[in-house]
Amino acid sequence: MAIPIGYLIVRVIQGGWSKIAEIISRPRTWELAANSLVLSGLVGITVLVIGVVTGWLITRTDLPNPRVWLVLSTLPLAVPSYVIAYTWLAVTPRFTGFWAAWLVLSVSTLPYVVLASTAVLRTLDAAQIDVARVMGENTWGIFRKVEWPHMRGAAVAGMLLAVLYALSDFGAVAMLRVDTLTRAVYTAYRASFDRYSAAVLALILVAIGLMVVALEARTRGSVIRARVGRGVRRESEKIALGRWRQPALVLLSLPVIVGLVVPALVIGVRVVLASAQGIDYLRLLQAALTSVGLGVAGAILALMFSLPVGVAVARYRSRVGRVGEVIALVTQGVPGVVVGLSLVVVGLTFAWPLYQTVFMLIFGYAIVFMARSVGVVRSSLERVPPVLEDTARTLGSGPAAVFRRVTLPLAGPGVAVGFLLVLLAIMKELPVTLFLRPTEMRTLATELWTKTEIVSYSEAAPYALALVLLAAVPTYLLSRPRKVSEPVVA
Amino acid sequence: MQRTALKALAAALLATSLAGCAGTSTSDTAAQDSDGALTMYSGRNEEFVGPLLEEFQTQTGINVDVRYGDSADLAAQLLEEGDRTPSDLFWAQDAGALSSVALGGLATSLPTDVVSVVPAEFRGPSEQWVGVSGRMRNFVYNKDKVSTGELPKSVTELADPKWNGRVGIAPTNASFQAFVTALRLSAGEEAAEKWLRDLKANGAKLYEKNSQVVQAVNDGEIDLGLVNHYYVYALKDELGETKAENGFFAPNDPGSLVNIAGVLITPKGSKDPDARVLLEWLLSASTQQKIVDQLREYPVVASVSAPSGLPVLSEIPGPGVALNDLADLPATLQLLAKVGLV
Repeated sequence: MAIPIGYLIVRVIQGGWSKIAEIISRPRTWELAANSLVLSGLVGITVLVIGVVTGWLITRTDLPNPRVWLVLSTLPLAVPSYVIAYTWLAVTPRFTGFWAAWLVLSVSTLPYVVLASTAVLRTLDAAQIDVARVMGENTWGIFRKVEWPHMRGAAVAGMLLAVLYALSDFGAVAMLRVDTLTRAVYTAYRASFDRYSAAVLALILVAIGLMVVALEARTRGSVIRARVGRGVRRESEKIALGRWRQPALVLLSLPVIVGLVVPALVIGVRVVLASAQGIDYLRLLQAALTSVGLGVAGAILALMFSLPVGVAVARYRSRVGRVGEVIALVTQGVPGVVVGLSLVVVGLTFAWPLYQTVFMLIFGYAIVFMARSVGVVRSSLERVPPVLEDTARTLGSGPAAVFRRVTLPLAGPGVAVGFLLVLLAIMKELPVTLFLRPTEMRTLATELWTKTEIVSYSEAAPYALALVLLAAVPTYLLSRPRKVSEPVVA
Repeated sequence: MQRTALKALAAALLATSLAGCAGTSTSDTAAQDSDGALTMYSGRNEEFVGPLLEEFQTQTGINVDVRYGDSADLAAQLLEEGDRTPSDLFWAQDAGALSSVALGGLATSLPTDVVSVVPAEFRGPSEQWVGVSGRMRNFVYNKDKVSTGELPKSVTELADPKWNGRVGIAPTNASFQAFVTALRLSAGEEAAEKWLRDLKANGAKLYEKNSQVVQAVNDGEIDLGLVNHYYVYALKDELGETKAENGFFAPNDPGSLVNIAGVLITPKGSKDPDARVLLEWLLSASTQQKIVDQLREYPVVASVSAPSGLPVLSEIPGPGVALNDLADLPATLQLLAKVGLV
C-alpha cells in the first residue's frame, strides 16, 4: 500500500537536495500546484453539492421514476473520464481549458456522492424525520438537523474520492489542455526523462492529498451510525416537489447528458462507421474477457486486503489501521505512471519471478484500488451495531466466529459494494496495466489506447463501447437498492 | 458468501488464463521450430510495426514478444528494471528516448558492420542506437481554403497577420518540441521565443496530438497545421478522400526537421544472436522498402528511395541540427512554458 509513496521518497532522496530546492523554488511549480488544488477543490465542492441534492431528490421527494434516475445518475461511472473528454472534443474542438476539465471530472465522479447520499437516505428511519417534523422543523430544518448529519460522513468520503481522482487524472486533463501537477509529472517523464523531478512533483501531490484526507477526517463526527432502536423501520413520506419539479429534472439531466448521453452517441456513430470497415470480433472478445477476468480477480484480492484494515479502524479504532487507510487513500491521488513504476521496482526487487505475470498485475490493482473498498468496508462495519457482536461474544462465540457469523453477514452488502467499485476501477485503468501486464496481454483499455494513439478513431470505438457496456453492469448493480443493513459507498 | 467468492475467483483466473493462452498459443508453436525468441519493448504503435514484426517472425521463425507502450514510459521502465529487464531490444519513437536509455547504461554498442549502412547522422554516439526510419516535420493544409500560391515557404511566415487564426499546432507533442529545439539551435533563443510569442498572438489553435491537427484541417476548422509528413496518409486510409493535403517548407527551413525512430539492444539482448538477426532484418533493403510502402516513412539506407510524392531526403538538409542535440528538451519545455504554450 505504501509502495508508491515509498518509491517516491527514495527517488526524491536520490535526486538530492539541489533538485528539490530547484523545483520548489520554481514559481511554475506553485502555479501548477495551485491549478491542481483549485481544480480538484472545485470538483469536490461541485460533486458534494450536486450529489447530495441529487440523492435527496431521488430518495425523499415525489420525483417521477426515482429508480430510473438513480441508475442514470450512476451510469457515468461506467465511462472513463478520458472517453468523456475525447467524445466532447469530437463534438466541439473548443471544449478545452479549465472549465471543460472541471465539467468532465465532476460528471465522472459525481456518482460517488450520489450513491453515498441515496444509500444513507434510504435507510434513514422515518421516525427520526417525523420527530423533527413534530418539533416544528420545515424541510430545510429536517435536512440540516437530521438528514445531513447522517449522510455527512458518507457524502464527504465520496467527495474525497472525487477530489483525489481529480488530482491524479492525466488522460482528461491532458486532452483538455489544463496545466496541473499531474500533467507536469508526466511531462517530466516523457519530455525530460527526468525521474527525479517527476518524483519531487509527485510528492507535492501526495502532500496535497494528505491535506485533503486530513480535512476529510475532521468532518467525521461521533454520530452513532447504527440504528439501535426497536420496531420496524419504515420509509417516511415523500416531499411534494410541486413547481420545483421542472428545475429538479433539469438538474438531474445535465450530468447525465454530459457524462453519458453525449459520449454514448458519439461512440455509437463511430461504431457504425467502424462496422462498415469490419471489426475484429475475436480480438474484441478476447480483450473483453481479459478485462473482466482481471477486474474480478483484482477486486477479490483488494477486498482481502481491505477487510483487516476496515475492521481495525471501525472496531478497534486502531492507529495502525487508520494509517493504512490514509495511505491507501492518498495513493489515489498519485498519478498512474508513478504507481506503475513503483510497482515495477518493487516487483523486480521482491518478486522477480512474478514480474510481468498476471499475478503481479492483479496484486498491483489490489494495492492501487483497495482504497475504494476500504472506505465502504469500514463504513458498513461501523453501521453494524457493536452490541450485536458483544451479544454473540457473551453467548460464547470466539472473535473469529463472531466476525464470520455476525459481522460479515451484516456488512456483506458493503463488501459487495467495495467489490463492484474496485472491479469498475480496474476495468477502466490504463497506466498500471501498461507497466505490469504480461507482454502481449490486451485489455479493452490497452486496445483503446493503441487505437486512439493514431488516427483510427472509428477502430477504437467498438472497444470504447464494449468497455462502457461491460462497466455498466457493475455500475447498475451499485445503484440497486439494498437491504436495511445498508452499506454506504466510500 | 465464501463459496461465491471462490467461484468468482476461479472464473476470473479461468478467464485470464484463457485470454493468456489465446494470446500465446500461436507464438508457442512458432517458437518450437525456430532457434529462439526475443522480447521487444516498442514505443511505436502496434498498428504501425505489428504487421512488420509478424513478417519477421514468418520469415525467420524467431518469435518476437512485443510490449507496446509510450516511448518515454518504456524508457523509464527500462531504467527502473536495469539489468533485470526482460527486453532484448527497444524500438523507440524518437532519439530522446533512446539517448536516455543509453545514458542509463542499458544500451550496448551495435555491431558496426550491421549499422554502417545507415548514415552517421542517424546513429547514436558509439553506435548505441540506430535509426530505423525517418519522419519529416511539414504542414498539412486544407486545399479548399489555401491556394497553392499562398503556401508558406518557411515556418516563420506563419507568425504573419495573414495567417491570423488559421494555424494549428500540437505544442505538447514530442515532434513539435523537437522542431522547437531545432528552431532554438538554428535561429537562436531570442528569435525562437519571439516567433513562438508571435505565433500565439496570431491566434494559433492548440491541439493535443498531431492527428487532431490533421483532423481539424480536414474539417476546415483551421486552414493549416504543423505536423509530421505521414499523418495525412493515415487519414486518407480512413476516409478515402481528404481536404487535407501535405505541404513542405523550403529545404534548410527549421520547419523541415527530419527526426528518426530507432532501436537499441539491451545488455541482455546483446547475448542473444537473434537480436542481431532482427537488427539486420530491420536495416535490410527489403524491410526498408516495406517501411516506405506500408508506413510511408523515410528509409535510413541509401539503396531505398523515399516514398513517392515526398521530397528526397538528401534535398532537404533541414536546419542542420544533429539528432543528439535534440535531447536539449528541458530548455525547450522551459521556453514553451514561458511563452504559455504548454
